[in-house]
Amino acid sequence: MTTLLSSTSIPPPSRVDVVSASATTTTTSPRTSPRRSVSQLRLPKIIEEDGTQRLLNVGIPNSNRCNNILITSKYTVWTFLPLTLRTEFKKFTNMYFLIVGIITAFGYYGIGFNYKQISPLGLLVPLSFFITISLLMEGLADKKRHLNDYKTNTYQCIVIANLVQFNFIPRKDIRQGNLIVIRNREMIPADTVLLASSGDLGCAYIETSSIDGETNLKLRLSAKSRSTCASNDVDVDIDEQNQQGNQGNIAVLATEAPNAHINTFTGKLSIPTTTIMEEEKDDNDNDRNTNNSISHIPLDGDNLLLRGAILRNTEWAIGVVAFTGTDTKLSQNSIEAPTKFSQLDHFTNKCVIVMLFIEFISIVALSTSASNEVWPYLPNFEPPEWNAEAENWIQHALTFVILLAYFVPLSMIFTVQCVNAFMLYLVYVDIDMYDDTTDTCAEPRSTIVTDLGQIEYIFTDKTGTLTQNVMRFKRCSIDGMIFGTPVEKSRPKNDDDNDNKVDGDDDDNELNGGRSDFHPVQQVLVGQVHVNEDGDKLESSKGLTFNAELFLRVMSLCHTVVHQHEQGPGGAPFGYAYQAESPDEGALVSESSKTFGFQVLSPPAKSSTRSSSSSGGNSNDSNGIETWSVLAINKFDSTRKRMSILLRSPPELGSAPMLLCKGADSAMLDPEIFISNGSNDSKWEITATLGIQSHLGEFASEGLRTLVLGVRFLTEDQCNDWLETYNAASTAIDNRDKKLTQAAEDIEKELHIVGATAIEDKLQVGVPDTIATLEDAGIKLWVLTGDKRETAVEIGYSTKVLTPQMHLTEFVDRGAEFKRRTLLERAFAADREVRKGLLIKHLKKEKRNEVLASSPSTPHAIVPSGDGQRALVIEGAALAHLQGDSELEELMFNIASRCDAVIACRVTPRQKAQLVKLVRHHVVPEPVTLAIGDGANDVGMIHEAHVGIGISGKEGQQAVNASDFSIGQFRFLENLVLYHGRWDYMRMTMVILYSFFKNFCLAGTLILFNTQTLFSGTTLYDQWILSGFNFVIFFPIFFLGMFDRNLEKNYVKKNPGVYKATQQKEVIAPRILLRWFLTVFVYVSIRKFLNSLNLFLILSFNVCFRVL
Amino acid sequence: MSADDDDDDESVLSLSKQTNRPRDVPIQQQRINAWHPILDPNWMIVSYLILALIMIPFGYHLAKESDKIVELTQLYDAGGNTDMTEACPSIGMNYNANENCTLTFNVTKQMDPPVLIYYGLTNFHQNYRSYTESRDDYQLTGTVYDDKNNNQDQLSKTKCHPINVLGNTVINPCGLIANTFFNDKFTLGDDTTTSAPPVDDLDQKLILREDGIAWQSDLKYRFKMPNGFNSTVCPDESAESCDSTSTCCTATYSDWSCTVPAINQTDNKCYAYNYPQQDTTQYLYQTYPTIISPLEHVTNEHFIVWMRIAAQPKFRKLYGYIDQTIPAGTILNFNVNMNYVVESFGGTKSFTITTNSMWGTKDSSIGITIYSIGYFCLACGVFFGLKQYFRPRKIADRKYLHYKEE
Repeated sequence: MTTLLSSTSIPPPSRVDVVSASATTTTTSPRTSPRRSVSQLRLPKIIEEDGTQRLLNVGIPNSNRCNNILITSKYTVWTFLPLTLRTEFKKFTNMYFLIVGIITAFGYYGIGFNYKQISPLGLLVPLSFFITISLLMEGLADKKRHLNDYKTNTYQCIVIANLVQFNFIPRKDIRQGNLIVIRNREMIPADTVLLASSGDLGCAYIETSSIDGETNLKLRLSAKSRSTCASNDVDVDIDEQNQQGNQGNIAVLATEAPNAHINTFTGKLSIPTTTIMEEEKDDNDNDRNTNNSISHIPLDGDNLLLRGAILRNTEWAIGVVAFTGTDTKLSQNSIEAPTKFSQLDHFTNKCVIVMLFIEFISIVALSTSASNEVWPYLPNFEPPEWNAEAENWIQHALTFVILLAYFVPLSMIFTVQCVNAFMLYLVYVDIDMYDDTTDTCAEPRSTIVTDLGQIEYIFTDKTGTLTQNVMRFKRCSIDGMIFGTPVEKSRPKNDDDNDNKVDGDDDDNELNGGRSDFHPVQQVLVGQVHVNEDGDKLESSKGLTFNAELFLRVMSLCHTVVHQHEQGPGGAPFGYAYQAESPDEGALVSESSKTFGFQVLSPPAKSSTRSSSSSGGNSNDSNGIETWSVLAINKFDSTRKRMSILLRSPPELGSAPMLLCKGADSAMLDPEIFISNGSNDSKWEITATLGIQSHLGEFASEGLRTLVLGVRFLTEDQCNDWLETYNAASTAIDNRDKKLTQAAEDIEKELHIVGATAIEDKLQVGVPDTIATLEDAGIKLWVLTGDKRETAVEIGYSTKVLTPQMHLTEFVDRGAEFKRRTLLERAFAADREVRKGLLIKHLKKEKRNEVLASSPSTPHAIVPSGDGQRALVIEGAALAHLQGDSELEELMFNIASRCDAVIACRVTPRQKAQLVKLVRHHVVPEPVTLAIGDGANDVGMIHEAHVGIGISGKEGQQAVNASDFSIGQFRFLENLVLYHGRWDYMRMTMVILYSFFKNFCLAGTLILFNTQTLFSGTTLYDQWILSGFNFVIFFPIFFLGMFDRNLEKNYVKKNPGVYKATQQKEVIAPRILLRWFLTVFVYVSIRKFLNSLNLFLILSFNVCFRVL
Repeated sequence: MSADDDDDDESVLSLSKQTNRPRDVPIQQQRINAWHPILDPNWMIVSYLILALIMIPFGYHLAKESDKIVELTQLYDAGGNTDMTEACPSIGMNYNANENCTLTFNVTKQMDPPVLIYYGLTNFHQNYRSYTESRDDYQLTGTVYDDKNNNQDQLSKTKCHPINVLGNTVINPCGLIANTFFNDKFTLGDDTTTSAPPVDDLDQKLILREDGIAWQSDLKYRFKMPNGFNSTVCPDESAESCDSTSTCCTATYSDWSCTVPAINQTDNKCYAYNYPQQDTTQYLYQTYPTIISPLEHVTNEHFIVWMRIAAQPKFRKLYGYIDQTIPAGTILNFNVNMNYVVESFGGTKSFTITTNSMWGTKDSSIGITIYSIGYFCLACGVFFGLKQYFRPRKIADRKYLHYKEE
């Protein structure tokens, strides 16, 4: 959210900025209705304008729309003081002390009532000191933002004026409708529809790391390329023609209203047909002879360059500005991040309220008992001279308001802030949380460090968090045979060995012996392998089998990988690097090029329209270069869980249209998808898929990620028919996504399954140990992953989330037959009789015996609930059934809260956030939750949890930006939670309780003293002592808060159980609070025997002692 | 935790590239040396015993010292409270009664110097807020308000509320504290007798000294004669003739405010004096003629002692001291000139003579408290010691970590 506002030329503003930005960026010009501009058009009404559409004249800046100024600063010179002061005095205690200070001043100067013993300066000077410091910090931060804004807004951009002239104007002056030129590595200044570029066919690459955090390059298509992919010159033609003819209106851009959806955009570019080429098939084509005839070029998200992105790999790009300033997707997206308050903040507020309540009662009681005489024992003088007017109740009350102001510690807010800042600093500089592989420190991004001491639930993403998100192609299944070495099954204790064996999988010889049920991966190339009954491998015939060849082609063709000429880290040889949106794709493509020689030479760039000129290159083995033309791409989405690509094979392979498809097994092995209707092959297909399915199970049990590849051969008719629907869908303005999905589902069936791949995702360093420690600390770990169940469970074992001693309860999605009753039955079964489940099957024989021996006499004994550890595995689909049914939800979360570990697999990002929310709702009392993740899909859950942690790893910045803390590695969580969290929570609790304690002592003695002064409101202490209590005495507390260490790291590491003390709020348990109160009363009563000086000494001694 | 060695993807950056690497210093890594006492049984037993070792002797010392102190108190005006026995007949509500009375103290134990003399009041709230505020410190340090330049009404009215003028007369010093001054007067009677065997210095007559009872800083800085005050020795007058018959004021210094010269107690000479604006002001020596000499005004030490207000409604204030040994068997007679009315506030007046110790005057409760706590510590130490000896508990036993089993 934060970086959405920042331009790439400036460092991302801190979290604080966001709040301001959303508050202040509304200061732009009103979005006037663009109707007037339409009437100026030479073109007739092409699009009916309603609320959802906006029209723009291309090339003519529309000054009625908002300008492109980006304001992240909060204040101007004039508004600084009023606004900051307002913020400061919104803080309750500040307001309180201001009011009391004013009352004191009234009393001091005898306005309304007299109270001369306490000078108002004693309150107001410290208060203004604390506030001044806050203002200074705020002002400095805002000055920085002002400088950044200035830099951003005055950055020079090139604008094409009058279609011929290139002008430099500052970025802020760009208006919607401007034609702008963007050069390589420049930030895109506003949301721009790409018209042309130096790249192939007008394509441009952008890097959107500051928007969605993804660092890979993304392909953006020029608007032209959809209708004509002939050449770049088209744009120039337009320009020239319009220049000769009508100055001004060359085209009309219709866009949707500004919205916050980053990846979608719907619009149309309407161009007079004089500039339109021949293949145009729109209805309007018939009117080509007239000037009024126009053609529409549909626009979608692929045509839009978003503000904040950076142009890459493209020398220049020309586009028409669609949205500026606050209309940009970036600004629209910059919603206010939820401000998180720590649990201790709530606790403090409660304390203040309690204190004020006590104070109020005391005031009422004292002023009611107060004597109404000036002086009860008038000496022997003549009465008329006495000015004996008595004070009334209100005046007494005001007196006590002043006197008891010290119930609320003035210094506490400041102390807490300082101590908190120091704690955050300690997190930042902790060398144990320094990631020396990426040179990153742990970075606190919010102040809720104390919440880390109370974590009860950790929700963790799997990919990229527990695992490294470095994908390697390990195994595959073709023709019922498995190629590639099995990854050693992960067992507790030796999970680090994973790589040793597997790394050798390129060496044929190592793997040929031994087991017979797999073959080295490279033998896929060798061709068909015959297996006889003995299981021995026979010499295979040369050449690839049909399936194997298709398998490799799907692997190398069916993707959206961006290919870079720069030498990249993707492992591609010969100067090619592949940048993939999903790491799986990257692994497949680079593997196919590295190992199998199916190298992608040029990207499937001009892919999405019915042009036939684009090419994807393929070199088969060493010589042949094949050119496959891409007809259409159905992108991956999370509901279909597959992607497909429609290709026309090269002439040497018959120029046949074919659909290559890959996706998750559930999406691919669905009978509706892969059985060809009425085909004789169906039986064979079923058996083949059964084979694949068993292989998939094996892969999954090794913790591998699987993909199933399929292919469909189409007839020309089918192809053309479908392409028509596809085009209709892709040019639709409304519901384009839905229509595209529908179209994709239309064609993605009757697939021939060619094989399955298995990709390994390595665990991060130290994950199992960390998880084991965290679990010892009494923290419940929930793994939320999009992976399939078997993979998730397997990863669970290898990461020690699940231990073999655990009883596994699974809520599995049964698809259509899933019923509420089934679930209930399962839930009850889980509660009463816990099955031994998967765990035994994963154990080696010796170990299994151990487990069995240690368990009750029979392996299937009924285990009373609550005995032993239990784990719950739940599928996203099952979860979807649960949600909304409050009874089931409650049941589920009751069971879940009693389990030591929960794995939710196949959950969507939305479900992740929902799960966190449900836990917060259903578990009583509400536990403190922590969510850790690294990708954009974790943002929801990071926001939803009390503490959000982002892994500043490879998947970009989005999770980090949304998080409260960012760390480099999952294993640092132990440091963060167990040491920092625990210490900081204890320290801060001490600081807060101590602050209240010292002030309560002060106020308590004053109350007690006033029972002896006929409730007249005399102070016991000089006002310097009173002020000193707020100033001097906070220093010991301050140092206590900074340096106190309750149990050393080593001890906590050995005995993580000590974490439970803070987790269960032991330090602020009623028992402890009572102790504090008792101490107060003891101290206050001691005052009855000793004079005030002694009390002061005792307090100081006590403070010193506590510091020790 | 070290990085995985076989891990080719996670190569550790070379140190020169680790620009963000935090410094490995104790303060940042939270490794500052600290004393971490683990309060294990042995530690606690030893601490208890050490505490007992300190507190028991000290407590007994305090109690003993307190017991050594000879303190004699007599209530001499119960203020109408009939339950108490008074040493003198009460003056009731009779202000400035000028009644005389004798308080007789029979000293049974020798009293070592300094023997302190206190008067005590009960139920008198010197800590009442309007009372505590009702004083004008500028006036006490000598500022005199003349109506031409300083409007007394304006300046001193709020400070001395509710008493700053009487009719048309300005009161100096104004305010409740100054004008509720305790004006009983004590003198040591001459008829002191003793049954004790003669001691060498007993020939010396016992003297009740009243100087040096106020804080020196008060005397020096906070209480001064009014600006414009003058005094000088009357050249012609001896101490004996220093009375209303003297012409010193009326003739020699006729432009001065005094009508009768005053004797300075320190040099025993006769002085004429001049107060500013005498005709519109009632000065302290006029308010309390029997106690305050015109030459002293607010620098009278009894007055200064009074102006140090007491925190509690029951208090005693130093009146004077005898810097001589009073042997056992001495009978002390104090003459009291009773003027101060306590019946109006239901209080009492008492008179105390006491000796002193290095820990102050008599208070046995502190000593008792301390040695009681010492015994408690001793008991704890012994009890835990026995427990630890016979049934020791393993330290850091993990089973106690599970303290909230469901």
